[in-house]
Amino acid sequence: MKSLTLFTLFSFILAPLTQAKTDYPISIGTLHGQLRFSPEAFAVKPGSIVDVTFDNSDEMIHNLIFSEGDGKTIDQIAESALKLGEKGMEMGFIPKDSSILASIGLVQPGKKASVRFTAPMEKGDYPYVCTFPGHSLTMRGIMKVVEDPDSIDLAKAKDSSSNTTPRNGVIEVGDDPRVIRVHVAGIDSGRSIAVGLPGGVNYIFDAEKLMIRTGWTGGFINVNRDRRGRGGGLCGIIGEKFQLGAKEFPLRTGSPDKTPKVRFSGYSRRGNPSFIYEVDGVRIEQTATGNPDQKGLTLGFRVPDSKRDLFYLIDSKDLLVSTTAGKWHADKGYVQIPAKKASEFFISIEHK
Amino acid sequence: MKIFYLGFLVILSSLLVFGEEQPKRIPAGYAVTTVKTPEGTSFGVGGMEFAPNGDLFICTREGEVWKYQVEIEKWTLFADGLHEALGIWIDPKSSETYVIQRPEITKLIDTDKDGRADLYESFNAGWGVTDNYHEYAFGLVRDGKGNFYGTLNTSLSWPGWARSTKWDVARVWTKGYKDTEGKMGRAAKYRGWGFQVTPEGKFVPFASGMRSPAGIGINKDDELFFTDNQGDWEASSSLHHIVKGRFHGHPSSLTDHPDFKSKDLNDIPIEDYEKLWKRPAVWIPHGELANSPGEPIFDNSEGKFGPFAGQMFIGDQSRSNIMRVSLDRVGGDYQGVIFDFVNRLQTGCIRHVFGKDGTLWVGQTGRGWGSAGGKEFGLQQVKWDGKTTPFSMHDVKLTKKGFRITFTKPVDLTLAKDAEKYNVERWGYHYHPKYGSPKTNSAKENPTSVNVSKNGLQVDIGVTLEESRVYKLNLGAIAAKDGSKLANSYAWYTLNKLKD
Repeated sequence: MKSLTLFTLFSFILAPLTQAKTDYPISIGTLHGQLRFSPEAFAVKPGSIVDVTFDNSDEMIHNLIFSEGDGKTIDQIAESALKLGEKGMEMGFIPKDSSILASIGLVQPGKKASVRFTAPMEKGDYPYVCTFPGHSLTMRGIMKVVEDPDSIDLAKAKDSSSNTTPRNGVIEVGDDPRVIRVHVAGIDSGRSIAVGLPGGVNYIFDAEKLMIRTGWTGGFINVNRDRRGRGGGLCGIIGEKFQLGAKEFPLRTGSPDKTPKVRFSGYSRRGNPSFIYEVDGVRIEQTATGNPDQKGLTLGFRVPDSKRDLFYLIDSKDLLVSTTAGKWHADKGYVQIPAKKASEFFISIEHK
Repeated sequence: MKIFYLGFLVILSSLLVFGEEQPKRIPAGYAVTTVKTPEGTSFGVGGMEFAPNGDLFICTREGEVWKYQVEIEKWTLFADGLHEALGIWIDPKSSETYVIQRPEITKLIDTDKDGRADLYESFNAGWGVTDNYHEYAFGLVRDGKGNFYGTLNTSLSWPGWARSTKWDVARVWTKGYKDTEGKMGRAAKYRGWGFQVTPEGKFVPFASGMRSPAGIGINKDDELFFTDNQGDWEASSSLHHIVKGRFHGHPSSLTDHPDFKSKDLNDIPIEDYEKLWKRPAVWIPHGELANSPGEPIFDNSEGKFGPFAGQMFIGDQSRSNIMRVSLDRVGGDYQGVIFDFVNRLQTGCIRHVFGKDGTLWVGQTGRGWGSAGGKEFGLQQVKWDGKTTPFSMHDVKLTKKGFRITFTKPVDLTLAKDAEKYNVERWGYHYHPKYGSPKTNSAKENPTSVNVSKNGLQVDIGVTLEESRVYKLNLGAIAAKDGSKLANSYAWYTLNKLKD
């Protein structure tokens, strides 16, 4: 796998020396604030020389990795990237992985970077992704390797009926995350929001208590019992549930002991669903990502304007907790995030 | 085989001549057209509103919001994953889109302008909600000052039906009745209330005593109306005029009323509730006319929908019909008359919206309470041909001695002058915790006097008048001067107050 990474480097460095003619100059940008690439697909010929310029016009840092495989492969790469921990920044969140074809490390907002590589000989779809923590779910695209790239219709028109409820009530998650407000069996809440992420990681966000009630891997939900007759049957989770040590109103400001005044403000569905709420007047944005092979979630928080330390309460029995900012106090049952580091941080909660 | 084939040809040719099959009862000049809903999509309509550009937006019980480009007949999904969206309001200038779903009023914003909402902003969630299926949130209307209004269903609380004691909170049957009489309760805050949300987003509990208030409507003067469904404390289905502070009859909601704090609602005698109770403006007799009425809508088309401009139309979920209401202001309050209008459509009619051309769009769902129409869901239009005046009772108003019936075209004088041709029946209802009420104090008579106006458009009948009664007029024997018959020959007038 090392050789492939090296190959990438070599192609980047050697290409100008060998004067190989670029077959496809490709420019990939970002959609401002949306955690999405633009374009999300392009097509090249097998074995052609591809020259990709990554133009990061976003306000966030991103990287770009081309790989073999499919959505699951890039889930794994993203998970390994997350596990780089403090070495992540240094390594550009590019993990060692034999599937990686080419990569561009971290590109600062407003900057550009390039990579040159030879497209695979084997025709097919090759995904690209940003593995900066929290971005991989939505920052992904497809390089199509085909004989006649001009014939490919890259406008991936969304099928307008793809999000509707099928007759059997089983809601499936395709390439885009699903967000659906439901009453779920075993979750006593009138304001549950089920989120299904591509790849088979799901969770329920409680819009009243602003906590994640449960996570699960596998299928999403079955709403059949709620959509039959008058309704009244609770929806079912399809898959294997796992707890996340959730406590009511887990995110607190100033003190971990004071139940905060909260307001649920809604959610964004641009990219990875992001819940927006206020805790004691402080605006919070919260996302979650996970690995379908593992019981756990990584919660991403953006708190642009916190004047006080933040606390995130977790009942950590059987759980492993880590954070990218501040410290996990296992004895006290909370992560403490200093105010100045709260603008963006990630808390991983995993089962032992 | 040959006969079958011929029959097929007859059906085919009649379809070609008359378009689709028409309801059994429909006034002359009106026709029903079925609109194709999105392919492969369960489409229980919960709310309908036109955007300023003419696109029709429909939210559904399945939690989706669809856009319909009327001219090109194209459906596009705008939002999904909502929790039983039962009302929608679109700003006629800015196109800002709000829906009401079980947990909240949500503003749907398409920030990246790709045609699909991507920001689901919680505008107000001032009420409580549990996982009790009956806790519907209905809406959504907005007045000229920018206040939103909606209505909140009580919880299904009687454990015998709810199959759990979990929601058995604030069920009221009062002393002297069995506890099984009270069926609905209040398992969370403000169940059974109509509410206001101010432009600043403040939740104001507005009127109490609602049971299953499945539709709210507003007229040009910002007056609010809602329909309720027959059940405990509700003698029959009904139409109510909402005014701030009113109590509409179902006591469970009083749990959240400051005057009833720390009181046991079952200790309060039924007579005390009855004194507080604001009687419905119009009773919609259960079983005769409607079983589960939906949204009231006013015809502001100024004649594009025929001769009933300014009147109100209400659909019914179980009987799948559309009714017509003409209000009568007596003693400072609304009462009035209700007629059947189109009976029946393909399935339950609960939501309505008028297009700019005066077409009445009817949003339908038949799921849950049975629907005479038979289909599970749908969308239909009722259109007037722009020229035919149907022979109808235009309205019925209370006079000091009886009623004045106004017709859309002149009556046959010989028939109209004959008091024997008018059958008048009246009755009252009990106010009690039981489920529905039989008719009480029933009486039948023919008018004591009949006066027909010279132009044949108005008939004054003299009858015995009593307050708190429903008057059912049967004019089946009356015909127009041109010989046409009434498509709907009954009128049900709710007399709450006599004229001074």
